[in-house]
Amino acid sequence: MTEAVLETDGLTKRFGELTAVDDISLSVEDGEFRSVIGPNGAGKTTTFNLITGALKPSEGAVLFKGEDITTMPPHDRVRRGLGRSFQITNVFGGLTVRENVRVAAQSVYDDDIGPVSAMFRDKNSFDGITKQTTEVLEQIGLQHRGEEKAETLAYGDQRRLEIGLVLATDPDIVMLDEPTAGMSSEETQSTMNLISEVLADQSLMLIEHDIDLVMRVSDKITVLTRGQELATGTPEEVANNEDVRDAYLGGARE
Amino acid sequence: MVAQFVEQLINGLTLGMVYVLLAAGLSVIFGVMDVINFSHGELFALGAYFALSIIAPLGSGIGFWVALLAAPLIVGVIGAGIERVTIRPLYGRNPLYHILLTFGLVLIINDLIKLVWGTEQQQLVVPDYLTQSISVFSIQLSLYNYFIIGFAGVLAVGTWLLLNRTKYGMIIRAGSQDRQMVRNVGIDIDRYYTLVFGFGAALAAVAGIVLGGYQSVSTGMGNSVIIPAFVVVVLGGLGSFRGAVFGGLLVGVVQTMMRVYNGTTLFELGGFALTIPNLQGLTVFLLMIGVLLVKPQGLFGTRGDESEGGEGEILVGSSGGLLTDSTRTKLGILFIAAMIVLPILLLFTGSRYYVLVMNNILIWAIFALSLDVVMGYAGLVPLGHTMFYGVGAYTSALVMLHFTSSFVVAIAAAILICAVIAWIVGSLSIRVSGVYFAMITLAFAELFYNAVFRLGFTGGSDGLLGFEPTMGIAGLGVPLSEISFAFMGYEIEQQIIFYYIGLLLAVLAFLFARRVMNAPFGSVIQSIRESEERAEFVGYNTVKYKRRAFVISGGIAGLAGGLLAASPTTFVISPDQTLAWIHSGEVIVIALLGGMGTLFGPMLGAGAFFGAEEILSQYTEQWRMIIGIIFVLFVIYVPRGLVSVPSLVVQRFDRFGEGGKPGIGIDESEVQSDD
Repeated sequence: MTEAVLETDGLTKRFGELTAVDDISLSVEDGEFRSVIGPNGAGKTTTFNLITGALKPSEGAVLFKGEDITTMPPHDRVRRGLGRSFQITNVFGGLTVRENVRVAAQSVYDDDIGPVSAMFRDKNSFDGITKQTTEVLEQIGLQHRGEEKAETLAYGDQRRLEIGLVLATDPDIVMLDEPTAGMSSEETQSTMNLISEVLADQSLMLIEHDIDLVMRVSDKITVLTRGQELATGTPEEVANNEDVRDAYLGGARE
Repeated sequence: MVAQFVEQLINGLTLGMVYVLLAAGLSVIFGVMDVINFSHGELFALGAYFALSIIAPLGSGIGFWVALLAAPLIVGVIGAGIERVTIRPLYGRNPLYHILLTFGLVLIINDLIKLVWGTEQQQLVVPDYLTQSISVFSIQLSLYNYFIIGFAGVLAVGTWLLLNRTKYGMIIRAGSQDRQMVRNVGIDIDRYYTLVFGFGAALAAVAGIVLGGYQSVSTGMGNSVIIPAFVVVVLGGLGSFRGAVFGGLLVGVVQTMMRVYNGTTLFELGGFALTIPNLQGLTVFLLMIGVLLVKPQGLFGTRGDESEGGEGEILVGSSGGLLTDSTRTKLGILFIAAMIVLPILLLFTGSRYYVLVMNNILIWAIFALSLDVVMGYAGLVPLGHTMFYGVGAYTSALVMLHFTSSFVVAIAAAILICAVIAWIVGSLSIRVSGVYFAMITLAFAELFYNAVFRLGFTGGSDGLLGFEPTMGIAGLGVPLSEISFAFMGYEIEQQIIFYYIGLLLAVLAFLFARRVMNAPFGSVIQSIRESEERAEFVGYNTVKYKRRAFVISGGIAGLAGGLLAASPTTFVISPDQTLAWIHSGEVIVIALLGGMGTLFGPMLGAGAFFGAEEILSQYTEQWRMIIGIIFVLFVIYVPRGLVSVPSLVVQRFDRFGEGGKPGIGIDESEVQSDD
């Protein structure tokens, strides 16, 4: 359990004069719940985008299960087991709930489906995909709503489906970008419950700025400030770190 | 030599200034409201026609000046009215609906012009003192050239000042940067839309008047400038005024120079001659494609690709159907059975002519089906889809002329060549999305359109003729025209044979497309339509999938084009009949009319469109106008197409029922079962 699933090595991103992410080297272990916190402009989202492939780094490397994925397009990263969820709910609104999950599950089998089958075989005739779809629907508690259109679901259920889409791609690590942004404390609680319940087998990397929440759920916390890594450690270590208190917690209280 | 060059340069700038006036309006309208206004060319023509009517009673001396002031005002008011009545209901929908709507407006305005002013080419009389020839540094040109450049220049500077030095201009510019933010600071930007649209229309009208005086006034004048005007706007950058000015002058000069100097040898050195290739008509499109590929936002564009394109979705008809799948299948089989019996009924009733109409409908049904694959399923709106229809027709005709008359080989070649071209065009086009994708495919279609005029083997503007398919392969078979036999006393000849071949291929194409859309590939395509970003992040290479969808679509459109060439009523394949941009618009009209995203909807749409044409054209010359009006109403009120009408009707009755009038005698189940 001490093997690193995700590593960044000297990750740097410059936008013109601005260095948004400056020489960040992280290592997330298999099964770990890692949170990344920091004030606005600390480089959290940029780091997230560099890891998921939405942005290309200026320098440095991203390693996933030991493989260099720095220049790999996002979809190849997902195929290798690097899943991501979206801050704003992003599901396939016009498709049914079941089809949403099924398409996500299908991507896992995409390379095994031959070109002729991909073009002409009925999409519901693949046993592995169907089985996985049903399992995921049960895990997220939407098994009875499979035939409804995703866009007609209530907000909370859409968030469940969102997590379900990530889960269906069979990820080793899931990147969560502020999954509770703009939620009431009640909604935040139920979303976090869902995450810990459904994604218990995966490594998680959470980008957040709700410190209290992060302190409760994380195995380890990385604190960023002005694009740089300030500290990494267990919640207690981070809470007791003088630099963190000065730079982040102190600043937040003012 | 130098004098001639400068003369042509000034000619180019004259045309360029007209483009500037056109493009400035188009560009500002897009910048502020995200509306791609296809009817801009018709407003341009309308300006010239109003000027004609004003000059006629007043005479050219004073009339011209009155017209130059009054006609743009009238067109401006018309433009403002158009915005109020038709475009306003569409804000918040995908910008592509504006393209569709304004295409409908093109049909309406163009027919109105024909109705009011007739179809003959007319001369807009300019005061004599403006047309005299003057000589500056031995450069011999009409004073009117300088007048156009000067007058348009003053207007352009005025527009620039209006945009940059006034409060209104500031709000409009702010609105084109970030509309929501303008609303947030408490300004009702929506009120300015009418103003901007009217102003753009007035500028277009001025352009129409000055160019009408320079060349002539004809019903096709709007059609001939709108595509170059789009090139200008896209080249310069959508929404950029500076870009419109630069692009307008560039396109005007390049067009003029290519017309004058094509084929000119620049120098000769030891048997090696550098000749300007004969690319007249092609250059500006090559330029546009090049710019879009390197810098999708245009030369002066500041907005990112699709900054607001995410708002609003493509509305497909597949949702909320009333019928179960099995009922639908039964209905489909019933429908095909009826189609099989139809020609026999037509023979009995002596209306053999309608077989020809049906043949045309079948060809367009396949063409519309091909569009639905990319537009309704992958969510890409190509404005140049007729390139595949045209290339398919040309390929099929060329094969029959030069290689073999075999129907099978000709059709197969058409499908194959179109699929290959779709792969190449798709690879280049799919890098950009939304409106830019629409524009780049339009440019490619125009490239093909102009290329067949230039190339020798395509027969130029005359097109190809003298081909005929043989029903067979490898030298065995009978020419289609010689097939004829009696059936129950009625002669079954080539038209009817072709009908059944067309029907068979249409059904096969439909079944093929439906199979593909229900397979893993099709499900990915549809997820890309719903959210491309999400599809990418569940692990799909969306570019690869979209390109494949484009190839499939291109191949099916090639089949439609190939069938057109093989049809017994087709004696000639000409550029205007197959590759003109209007057909790209028509096929979109048909698909939307029928209902996108259903496959059968667009096919029914072809029947409705040409059926309506057939019926309306018996009563009026202006059938296009009526189709245009119907289409505009569809875009606004029934965006999911004909296939959604039954469920809309049921909704109506539901609401009616809830209103406490159950006594009307129709309940939901009854409506459903009857349907």
